[in-house]
Amino acid sequence: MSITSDLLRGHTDTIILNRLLHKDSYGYEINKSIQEKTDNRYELKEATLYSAFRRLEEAGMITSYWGDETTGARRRYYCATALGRQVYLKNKEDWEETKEIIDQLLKEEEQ
Amino acid sequence: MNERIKTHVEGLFAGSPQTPKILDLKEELLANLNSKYDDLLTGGFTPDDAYRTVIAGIGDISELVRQIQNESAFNSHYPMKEKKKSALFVAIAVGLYIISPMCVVVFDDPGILMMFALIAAATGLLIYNGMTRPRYVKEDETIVEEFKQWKSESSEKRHLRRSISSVLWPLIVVIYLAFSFYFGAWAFSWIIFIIGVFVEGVIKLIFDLKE
Repeated sequence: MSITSDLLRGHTDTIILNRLLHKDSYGYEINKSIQEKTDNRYELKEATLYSAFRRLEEAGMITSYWGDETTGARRRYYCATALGRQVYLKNKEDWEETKEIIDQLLKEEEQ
Repeated sequence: MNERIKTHVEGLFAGSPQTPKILDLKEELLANLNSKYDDLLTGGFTPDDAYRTVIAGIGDISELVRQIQNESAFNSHYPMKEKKKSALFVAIAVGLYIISPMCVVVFDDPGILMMFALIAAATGLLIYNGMTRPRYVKEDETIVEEFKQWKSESSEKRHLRRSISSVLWPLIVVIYLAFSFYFGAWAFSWIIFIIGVFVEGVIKLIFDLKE
């Protein structure tokens, strides 16, 4: 798992952007959906998640606002910007290409 | 709201300054951790197991807190301390302007010298304040940051113009009052204001031509 985490870490931002493509969401909901999507194989640490939010927000790829929950604590929601969507698509494209190259390189030739 | 989680999070932030950004992060973190905790309980965890799982999922936030702290120390355009200092300067300067005509009323002729000395001091304060206010500090080496800094530097001239403008009008009021009191020339001293508009127009023109 630790090796997988290392490989995944570089894609944290892209993964988060993916979660925000279709609706605004908050930290726990994002993390929970990541967990569910991977059948509990992957989950971000809170620290990683908020560092990524901060980075993305500073880069103008997401914006945030406080929700107006009627019960319980306030939640901070995040929303992908047009730039965020653009970067997401670009990163996804890059990943597809990387994946292909690595697949090709690691394929064992039949003797 | 689970008290144990709250206590733990309070502990994580102990020793950090209570800036708005840090408090925001704490509130956000607490809300999310509590949602997770409640979910785990619903999913059949015992309170102890749920608490441990939640705490273990936080990871090391000290680096993040440190980053936010640094940012509020350097960025936030004008740190709180600077803002206070700036406000104090302006308040003193305005106070000096207001009491300066009193010298003439109280001390008669030598009062005029005192009045102009006070005006000079107040004007000096305002200009000093306008020129020393910290400008944008570069946050990292990205192009965006460089652009912001460049923009901030190129607006330095505008900055100076604003300083002059903010000094000009109080000065005109003081001259008007002093002139009128001293010569008893209320009937036509209002013309000073028209001259003031003219002077400001000329200053604006000079700056526009330079740019």
